[in-house]
Amino acid sequence: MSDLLPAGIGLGFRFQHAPIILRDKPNTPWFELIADDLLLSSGRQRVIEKIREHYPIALHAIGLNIAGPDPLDTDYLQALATVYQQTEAAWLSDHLCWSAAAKRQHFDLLPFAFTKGMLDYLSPRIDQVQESIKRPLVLENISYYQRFQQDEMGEWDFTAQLMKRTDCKMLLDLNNLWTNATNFDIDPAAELTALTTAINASDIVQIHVAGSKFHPSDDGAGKGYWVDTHGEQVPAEVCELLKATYAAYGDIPTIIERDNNLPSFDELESERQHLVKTIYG
Amino acid sequence: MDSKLNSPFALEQQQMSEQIYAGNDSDQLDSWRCSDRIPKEVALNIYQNNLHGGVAQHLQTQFPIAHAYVGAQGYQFICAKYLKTSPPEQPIFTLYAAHFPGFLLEYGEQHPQQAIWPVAARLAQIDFFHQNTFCEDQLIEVEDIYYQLWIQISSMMKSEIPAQSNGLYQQLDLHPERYQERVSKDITLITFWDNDDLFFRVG
Repeated sequence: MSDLLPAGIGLGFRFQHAPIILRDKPNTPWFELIADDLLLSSGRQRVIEKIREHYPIALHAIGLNIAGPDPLDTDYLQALATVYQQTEAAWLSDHLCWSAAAKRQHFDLLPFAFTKGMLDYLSPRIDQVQESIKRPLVLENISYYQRFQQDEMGEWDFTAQLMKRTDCKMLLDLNNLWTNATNFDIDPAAELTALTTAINASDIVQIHVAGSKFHPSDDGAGKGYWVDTHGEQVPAEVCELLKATYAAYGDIPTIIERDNNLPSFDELESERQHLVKTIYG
Repeated sequence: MDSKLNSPFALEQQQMSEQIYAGNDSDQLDSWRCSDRIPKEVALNIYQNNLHGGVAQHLQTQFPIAHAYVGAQGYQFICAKYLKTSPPEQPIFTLYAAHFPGFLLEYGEQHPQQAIWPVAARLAQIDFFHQNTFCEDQLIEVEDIYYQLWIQISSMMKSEIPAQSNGLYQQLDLHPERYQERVSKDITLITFWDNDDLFFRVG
């Protein structure tokens, strides 16, 4: 499935950058678009049609609430399916998380316990989405700041079992992996090895790289912690993880994902070119 | 399998959601397993900041001129009021933002002694149109005096006048009391494409 997009390093598309991209037609190999931005009839579709004339795309959603306690929002799901069909995107991804409870949205990606019960709960919900979009759903690992006493298995075992049950695929966010491992004092390289042991290459269709922000501990005595902002440049540690992932799996379509502190398009494209040089020499 | 199953984690999710929304302390979150780096109260604080700070930040992005007019402190205050009064029920943030100008207007009616909110509401209405319209020949009716104010603040922001945390409304010529009971004609703004960029003109 990952061969639906070029294996090179692309960028997350943001509408603020649309005029520059449409004017300059940069050599960015592909873009990932936020699907939620396209669900409103505001004329964004015309911009996307122009982008699609020059670039392959993938869609990334943030509101599916696949692990949430509420029933799936069928209006939202139908709108996603329509946009997916209209844009002819390579795939549609969202996050392995919950983001709303009792209809109250958090606009955040929240963790749940990795249990057999959650596998049973998630599998038919993923089936429902896949029936609607008529393609495998791609799910991204999130950053989290705590785990649960109820956890019965590790994150990668849980994800591997979920993919085996449903044929869904994975979007691997290496910054989230790095942030979680570092905050829990686990060697990120060892965490990546655990992932590559549990999950097959064919199950990972896309990679995100990004940056987190460091916060010193309040009393100055602790080691401090990292908050996943997706608002910083990709740090050297995440670049190393990307190299190691390519070495283990081969090249996989990748983007730099920047959600906050959005720089100009030229700065972001320069960062992308620098990353390409770092990875490929 | 049945996709109508109940989440085996629903109770914890409901409790976590309530704790994040209420800004409470972390006493009740017994099921959390935290790291040495991030104690329970810090973890909860991160989620609370992601919600409250995230909503305020996204509302600033959607309404940059209204934000500059009200100032960072006032904007933080009114965003918190909005989140508390009208928690978002739909997953698309733009839909939540769409109701913000109406909320400002309503809040202004409930607090008539605070003249800033009706003005901010009109600026926010133009902001939303400007941020979320991407095709030509889209129309919006606005009052001319607020459009002129929006243009003035927009031009001040482009000239990189240092941001004022207390807001541009404090400047005498921009003060909200100047707009009270003033009568203005309605005008129509129309979008048009030029060289792959979208602008609007007065119709």
